[in-house]
Amino acid sequence: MKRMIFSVLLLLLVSFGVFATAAAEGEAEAQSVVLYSAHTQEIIDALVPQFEAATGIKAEVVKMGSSDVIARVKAEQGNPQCDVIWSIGGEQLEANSDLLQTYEPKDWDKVDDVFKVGHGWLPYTGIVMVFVANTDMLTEAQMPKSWTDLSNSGYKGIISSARADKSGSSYMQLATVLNIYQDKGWDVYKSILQNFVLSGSSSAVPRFVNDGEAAVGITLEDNAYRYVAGGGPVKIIYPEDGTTAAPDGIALVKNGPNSAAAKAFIDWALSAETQSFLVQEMGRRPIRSDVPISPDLPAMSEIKTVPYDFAWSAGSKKDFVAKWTELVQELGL
Amino acid sequence: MASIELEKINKNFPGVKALNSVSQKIESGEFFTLLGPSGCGKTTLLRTIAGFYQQDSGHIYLSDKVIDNVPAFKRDTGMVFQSYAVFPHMTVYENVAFGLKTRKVNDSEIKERVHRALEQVHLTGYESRTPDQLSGGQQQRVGLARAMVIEPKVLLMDEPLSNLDAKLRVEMRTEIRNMQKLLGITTVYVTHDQEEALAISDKIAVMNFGVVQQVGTPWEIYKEPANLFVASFVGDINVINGASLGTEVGLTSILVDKNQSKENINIAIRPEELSIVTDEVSGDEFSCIPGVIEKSSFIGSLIRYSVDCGNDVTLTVELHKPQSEAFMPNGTSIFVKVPVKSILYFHSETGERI
Amino acid sequence: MSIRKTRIGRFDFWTLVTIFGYFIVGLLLIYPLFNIFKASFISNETGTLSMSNYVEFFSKKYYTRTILNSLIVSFGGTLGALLLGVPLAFFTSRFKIRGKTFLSTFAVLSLLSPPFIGAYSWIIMMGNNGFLRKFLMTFGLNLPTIFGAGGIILVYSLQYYPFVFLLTSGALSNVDRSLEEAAENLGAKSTMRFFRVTLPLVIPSVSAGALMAFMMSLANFGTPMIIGRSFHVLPTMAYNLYTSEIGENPGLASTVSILLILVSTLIIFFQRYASSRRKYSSNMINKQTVDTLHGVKNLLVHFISYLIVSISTLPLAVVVFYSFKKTKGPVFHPGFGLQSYQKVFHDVPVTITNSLIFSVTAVIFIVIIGTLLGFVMSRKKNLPAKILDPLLMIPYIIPGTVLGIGFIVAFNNKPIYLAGTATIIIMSYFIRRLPYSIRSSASILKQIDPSLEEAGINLGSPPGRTFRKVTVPLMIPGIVSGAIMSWVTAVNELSSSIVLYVGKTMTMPVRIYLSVLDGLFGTASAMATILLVSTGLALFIVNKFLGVGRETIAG
Repeated sequence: MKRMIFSVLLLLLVSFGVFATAAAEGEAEAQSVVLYSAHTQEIIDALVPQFEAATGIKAEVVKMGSSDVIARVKAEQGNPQCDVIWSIGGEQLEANSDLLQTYEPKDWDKVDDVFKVGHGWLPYTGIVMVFVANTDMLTEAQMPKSWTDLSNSGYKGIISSARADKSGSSYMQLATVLNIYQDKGWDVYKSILQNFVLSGSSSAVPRFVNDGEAAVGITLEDNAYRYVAGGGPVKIIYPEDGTTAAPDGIALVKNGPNSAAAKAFIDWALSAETQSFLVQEMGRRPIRSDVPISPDLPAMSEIKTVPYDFAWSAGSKKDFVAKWTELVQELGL
Repeated sequence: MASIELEKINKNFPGVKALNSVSQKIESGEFFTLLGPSGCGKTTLLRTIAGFYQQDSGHIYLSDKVIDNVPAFKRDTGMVFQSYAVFPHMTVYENVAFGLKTRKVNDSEIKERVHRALEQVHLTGYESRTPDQLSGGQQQRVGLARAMVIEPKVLLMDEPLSNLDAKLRVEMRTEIRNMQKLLGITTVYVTHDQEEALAISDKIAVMNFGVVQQVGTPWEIYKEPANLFVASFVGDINVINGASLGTEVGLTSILVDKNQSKENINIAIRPEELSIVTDEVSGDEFSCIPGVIEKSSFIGSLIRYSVDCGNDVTLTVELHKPQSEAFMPNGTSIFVKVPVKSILYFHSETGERI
Repeated sequence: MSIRKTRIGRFDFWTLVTIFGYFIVGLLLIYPLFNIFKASFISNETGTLSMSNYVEFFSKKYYTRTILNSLIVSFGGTLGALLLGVPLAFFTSRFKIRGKTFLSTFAVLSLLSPPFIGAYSWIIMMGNNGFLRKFLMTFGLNLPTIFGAGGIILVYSLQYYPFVFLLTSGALSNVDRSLEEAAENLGAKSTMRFFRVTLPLVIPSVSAGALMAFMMSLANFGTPMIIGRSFHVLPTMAYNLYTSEIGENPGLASTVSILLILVSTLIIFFQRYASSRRKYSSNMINKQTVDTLHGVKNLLVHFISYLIVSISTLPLAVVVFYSFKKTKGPVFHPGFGLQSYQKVFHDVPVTITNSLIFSVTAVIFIVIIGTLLGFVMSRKKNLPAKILDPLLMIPYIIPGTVLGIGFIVAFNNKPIYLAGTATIIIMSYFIRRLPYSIRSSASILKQIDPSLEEAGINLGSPPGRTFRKVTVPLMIPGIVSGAIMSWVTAVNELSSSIVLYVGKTMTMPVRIYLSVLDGLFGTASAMATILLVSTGLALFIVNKFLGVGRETIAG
């Protein structure tokens, strides 16, 4: 009898022992940093090995939509798991600066002053909202030139966009339209929205356009650029009625488990080498004044931009997303 | 060597009373058979002794020690199963050695005892065979050797021969009986085959509906059945309700003797006690019932006649060592000669012997 | 010795196993489900007990529509699975088909690949610009795109028909030939014979296969996520709501989860009720023979069989093909190259190690505990075991997404913090696949004479030791096949790990899914091919050396 009780207890112990060791695995490693990121997997795959080689620190990346990143960090507030939030929309960070730890990185003086807009977070790269169009499906004349063009009924069901409640860049597109058209903003946006095919991630948008699943997409310049660079049948369009050029952010999470490694990561991410890599390979715009812009992309002066107020867009996010959800439900998307 | 005592054992399964207050003492060294139709509780009782079932109430004593809460693996009984239950993934040797290994007997002794056991069941030389290379009879010998090699206090056998063919069954039962006598081991044997039970046992308990109907020697069970169930389960018997009888002098007078009305009595008589005569004889010792031969079947050592005696009474008569002239065609009018001393009387409602 | 004490029965090793079974059910099923249930009744606004989530759900057509949508695609998928599975089963079990083993292996293979990969392949083939669709258009065949309900039904049909196929062909070969001969003798023509005699006899198996297909369709998350577009079903809605409710009370997500469980429970009861009245026992006297067909009939039967299997394997072929396509950045170019494999080279070692460690760890526990519980379920007829049996089948009706949400809600609070650990993923694999192992153990135990165990016990070996020395060695084939099935499905698991993973616990299916979601089909294909080859290899080995699998898939 005793032996039986013993053996079952042993079984119990062993089960939870193994569960626990499996769980503890990885935590034993000396130098590591946990990153929550909305970067595309492709960029993560390209950059993480470089970082690990340069610093000898092991990076663990959790890839999520930018809203999920914030939600997760918020949920873990009591017991932070994440060290650095890497590349999510600035307004998301702005709205949650209480979760973040201020940090002044190395070479802060090299960062272009126009990008120093955040509180508690740092600019990472410059991002421009663009349209991307399939050159096989649309002639030059058929391509949309402005946000209002997108509401043309001929585009019904062939515009690909991400969900504004999941994707930070999609939210920024919404805010951009509201910013440009002010009072008429929601009317314009609704007429655009009814033509949309929604997806979970804005990274997939240029893929659908490239594959001809959609004729037009709304996405980030760098996402679209990689398809252009890859030789796909796509063209980048900068809206004539204006667009947003704003930094996406990188930030230190308050009370993250590996703060030294976290700072090392941020320094590395903002270094001239990393920035030029992002520019050359990924089509991003640099935030450093000492890193030149990619020759394939137009200079900022050639693009019509409207000033983007992070505090406004961050502060209104809850209301805007609620309204957006209502519209989506109304339109049955 | 051990005695077994069962004290008011009750066991219920959902909707069935499998054992109804069974009390019985089985003496040390006795060959004790539980006999009954399927569902009578005999296997349940055996498995309760083995510890595979827990009785709902009552006590079991093994060598005067109560074993109610001793788990099956500590009861030290050797069981032989109807389906042989020879471990298919072990050789004959490993099968027989299994119980010794659990008892932590040392290897050289295991070897010696396994060989001795296999010798007893005539399986010397089969040590390294696997069960799928053995016939049914051989597998059952392995089962027997495996149960005996541990020298259990009692041997429990659950219809061990019922999966074997008729000839082998007779052969094996003689062997089992001889071996049991030789070792003097207390044995509880379950069977539904009355012939097997009569041939092999020191004592038989006939069971029905979870109740022990009668316990006795094979002779007592056959010749002096306690009730109509035992009488008709063990061997063939003719049963006639008293009311169907005519005015046959001997029979009716006996009924009056028994101080019962005719309707309350069933008379019963074994077919081999009856004989057929062409002329009516009468006297104190015999009575004759007139009848017509309805059909006859010749089965070698005997002829079995069905005789229609009117009043819905049909008697079976067995004629041993038949001579050719004894063969009577259907439709022949004859008399069935009934030896009065051989008649058994049962109460027609309770079935009890009067 | 009091009578009361003997009545309780003896407390042995199996009593402890039964208690442990209740512990597992309590901790890993009842507790998380109760938490979901509770969360669904907590208002997101006020944080108090209320029906507000249910009111919210049922007052918006956007939400209520998902119930209908789920039912439409699940019934559609089931019907499709029947239309493909039953004829294939009939043809392959009654007629001589060349390459029969090959056909059934491929049929099963399509069952074991991560379903969402197939969905993306279908976009490539049948999307707006799909190559197959364009190809068919040159013949004037203008087919609708894969997006929406129709596409989901197509993918489900092709994904789940193997359940119907496997179960039906098993049953067909067990139909006593004399029955069909009797029908023929009584003058029934071949079609009438099939519909009036053969089909009714195999209906219980067909309906069991249909039920599997239905439950899988109802719980599927990846496929509608990828090709549903604005067509939402309950699992995707639960996931979408869950991700937007992270960090808060997942009230609406829990509400949707509860409704999903409710629907599956109703369906399972309906099937049980419907099939309880149709049970046939057969004592096989005449085994089925395989007829050789000639001429047009033969051609037609071969054509249909191969067509079904080819179409269902097509998505896998597309995946493998695209993984070897030349790419520049994310764009595919003509010709072949290994760029996609190079890109995943850095990532794959970690994720595949995770997948292997998690699934193997889970399977070790599944095998040990599943075997023990399988024994209790099939050998112990006491009341606690009888109650435990259906409880342990709950994972069959709990979609992975729901279980994942339940785990997060349950195990990220006092007293157990497990969010973000490998433990929580292993636990979810464990409980979701445990029924496979219990079922396969229980079914092999039916073929093992209980007297063998009694003989062991009678010879003085305690129950635990007897189980080890006698029963387990005889159960090995069943245990191995159950283990392989559990492993293959665990290694492909997406719907609960998508909710439970963090960066360091990323698994292959999650990684593939995320790549697909980002539109990185090249790298997704490369990883899916790696996963497919490893699971295919495992399946092949099992088929080759043990010839098992059918029973366990059938459950």
